[in-house]
Amino acid sequence: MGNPLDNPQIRAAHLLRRAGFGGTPTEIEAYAAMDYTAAVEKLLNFNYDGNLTFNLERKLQETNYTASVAEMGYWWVLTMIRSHQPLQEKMTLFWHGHFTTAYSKVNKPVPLLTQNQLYREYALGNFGELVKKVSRDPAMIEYLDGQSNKKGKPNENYARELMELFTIGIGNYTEQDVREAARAFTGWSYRGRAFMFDKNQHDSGSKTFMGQTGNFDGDNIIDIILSKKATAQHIATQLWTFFAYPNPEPALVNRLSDVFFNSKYDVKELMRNIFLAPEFLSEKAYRALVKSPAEYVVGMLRQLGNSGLDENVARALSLQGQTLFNPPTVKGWDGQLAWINTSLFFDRVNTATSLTASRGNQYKFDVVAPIQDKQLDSGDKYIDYYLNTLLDGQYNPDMKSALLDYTNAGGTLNINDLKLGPTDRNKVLATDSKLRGVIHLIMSSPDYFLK
Amino acid sequence: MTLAGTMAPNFIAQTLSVVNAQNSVALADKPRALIVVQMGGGNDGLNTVVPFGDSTYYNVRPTIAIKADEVLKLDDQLGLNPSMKGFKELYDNGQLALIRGVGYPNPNYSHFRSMEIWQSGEPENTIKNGWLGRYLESLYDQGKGDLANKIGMAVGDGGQGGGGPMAFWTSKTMVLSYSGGDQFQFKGDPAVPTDKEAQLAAAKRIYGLTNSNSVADYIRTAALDALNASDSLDKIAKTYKTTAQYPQQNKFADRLKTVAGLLASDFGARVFFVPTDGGFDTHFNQLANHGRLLGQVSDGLAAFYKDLAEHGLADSVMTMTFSEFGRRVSENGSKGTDHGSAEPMFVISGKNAIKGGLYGQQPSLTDLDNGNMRSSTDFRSVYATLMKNWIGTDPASIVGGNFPTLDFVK
Repeated sequence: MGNPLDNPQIRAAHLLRRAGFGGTPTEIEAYAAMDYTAAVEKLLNFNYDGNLTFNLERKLQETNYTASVAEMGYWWVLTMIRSHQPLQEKMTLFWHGHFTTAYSKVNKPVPLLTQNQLYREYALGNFGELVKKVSRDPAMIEYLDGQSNKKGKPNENYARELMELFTIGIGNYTEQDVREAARAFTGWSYRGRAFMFDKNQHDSGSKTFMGQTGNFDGDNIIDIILSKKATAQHIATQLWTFFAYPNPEPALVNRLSDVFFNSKYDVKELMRNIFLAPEFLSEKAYRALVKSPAEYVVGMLRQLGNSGLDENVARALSLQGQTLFNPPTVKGWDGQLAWINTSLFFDRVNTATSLTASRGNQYKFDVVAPIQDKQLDSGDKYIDYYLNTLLDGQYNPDMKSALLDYTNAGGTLNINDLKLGPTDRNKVLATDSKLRGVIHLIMSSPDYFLK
Repeated sequence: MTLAGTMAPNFIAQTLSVVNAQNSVALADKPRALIVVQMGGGNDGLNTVVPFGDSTYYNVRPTIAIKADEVLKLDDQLGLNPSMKGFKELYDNGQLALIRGVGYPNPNYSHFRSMEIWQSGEPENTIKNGWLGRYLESLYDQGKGDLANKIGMAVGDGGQGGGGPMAFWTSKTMVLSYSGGDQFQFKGDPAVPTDKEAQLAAAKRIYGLTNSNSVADYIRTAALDALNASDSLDKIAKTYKTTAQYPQQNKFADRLKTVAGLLASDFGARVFFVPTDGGFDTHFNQLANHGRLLGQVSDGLAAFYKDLAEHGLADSVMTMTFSEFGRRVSENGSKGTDHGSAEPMFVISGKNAIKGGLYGQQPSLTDLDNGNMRSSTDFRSVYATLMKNWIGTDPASIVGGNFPTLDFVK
């Protein structure tokens, strides 16, 4: 068994699952034909597009319409499915889980969507600038109680999470640093939809933070945090863990954090180094990560077709443990094995069934089109086609036997039975159901849960 | 699923001794159970168990203190939050032990680290297994690995984004996560219901294939556990009956009702981890939310114990509550409280099983460590008490040392 990632097709599929939400067979073909470095550059070099697909934010600003968390999630899922700039959406999802803000606390859609656009705009931008923008973002200020962080009565919520989760990481600051940083952010507030510095509520006195003393404000605190190499290490580790595999080797973290630190926190440069790292294409990286519910569902919809969706697609993500715009805690989603337990397992595979078995007027999976396009005139060819496109052709041979036996359980499957007339309605339906069942079983397999 | 008959003997032995001593309800076929309730977010202990006799409390909390004439008095110094009538009733009934001032040395004020500390039972080092998981592992080491998988169960989403609670993590086994309802089953194509069995058989065959990728193997193990438990759990949920009035619109209470149904069945789960619904991280405008959150816990557990009593199980089920930390003594500028230390824990059971009352010392509001109260009882003492005196197992390896036990178990 060699490294599957030596195969250009599998390498392209791997890159598209990590830098995006998985490729269609056509996309995988196109990326496989490119030199790998060129493929990475194509993904990295997109133009910022704030008007992707159906722009809910604009709709919200034109009318007095208020969106539910499911409507917002639906809009974002569609954007993930249809974007031609998958890395932009993938980074936006990363930043959303990193600089979390939850609907359950903010309760207003516009600030959350505005924040979402900030993450899209800064997808591969400068991390230091992003931290300063986030610190002024009304949704974040609301979420971590910046409104009530006042001179003489500091609220430590933002100061603590800024260091613990957003930048330098636990173990690199003291409780005294938390208290002093909270003072520096006093008066950082918002009014309406805009940041507002409330001078009267700002504590302009002297603070001692990470060994330095001065009349610091929030930006000074951020600059001190950014001056520490530990910040670059923390963010590089998190990005590697999200995009490549958990527990990166210390030498790898050092290499990446050097790049990040020396580039003055250029996220694009860091991501280029992540995708081009030999470790990213190592056997260890292949199928090392569990797909998040967004990746699982968006990936399926990109492969099965995606017209006629509605808000239920966002609810399906929620059932599986990922409510977009409403992460469970300020730490975001733990990811990896936390996406799996016996309860979430059923929510995952039953979502797959609801897609593959959908013949409705709204969402509909067309089982026949690929059969015609690819001339899949036998059960064997049909199963091979989907094992190849959905599992990179990398599967246990006994899995194929299980699928063949399943299709033949009620008598040998004959794909041409799909063309029988209305008098054989039950036979047509039974065949149609088996073909949908094959895809459901593949999408329910442990290997398909991985990316 | 005949696990009750093959339960760990120490459970049974303990149970029998209770029966003999008290000559109360017949418990011989109802082994003891432990319910761990997580109040995530950092519960404000001072507005939960209110030191209404201490004027300092009113001085440092000018806008959020609970008035003395509103608290549910436990003695002339302490009273419960007015929303905790259920707990007051349990207390008056001798079913509730309140352990005051619980914590650990050098408290950590990160939600995530402190939650890890409480769930792992290890404040000093970062480890990747939990205190309940180590108990399950000890069963494994006794050759009862099949039981270890079945005894533990996580009911409801812990709000951590999935997975299972760290308290249950072990290197050897994983417990079921179950939330009740009708989603815990494999669904086939609704257009051809007769195909479901064939599809399920194929799925089980696929999940039966070992995989050299450890993550894939973890997934397939969860899948098999889920498929194997699904029919029994569904049947229990559909047939369980109680006259206990659980509060409506209370997900925590729904979870407890699910637990009651399982305890009354022969499914075999006996150690449950149940999170409350919603966070206790009351940095802002605390009075608006905190009472509601406490009411959810108090109302839910009060109904749960009525339900258990109806099924003759109250004396065989002990429940413990915890949060990752308490909160700062003084209120902040936002009518809320920032992260702090020293919290109250509640332990509840039937009155023949528990010695209700006050335990530990109420922390001083003036002798502070940088604005935070000093704890006097280590949380591992509570864990050790439950392991040694309730479950009947040696706590040393589970809590990492010898911590003095308390005497709330009868």
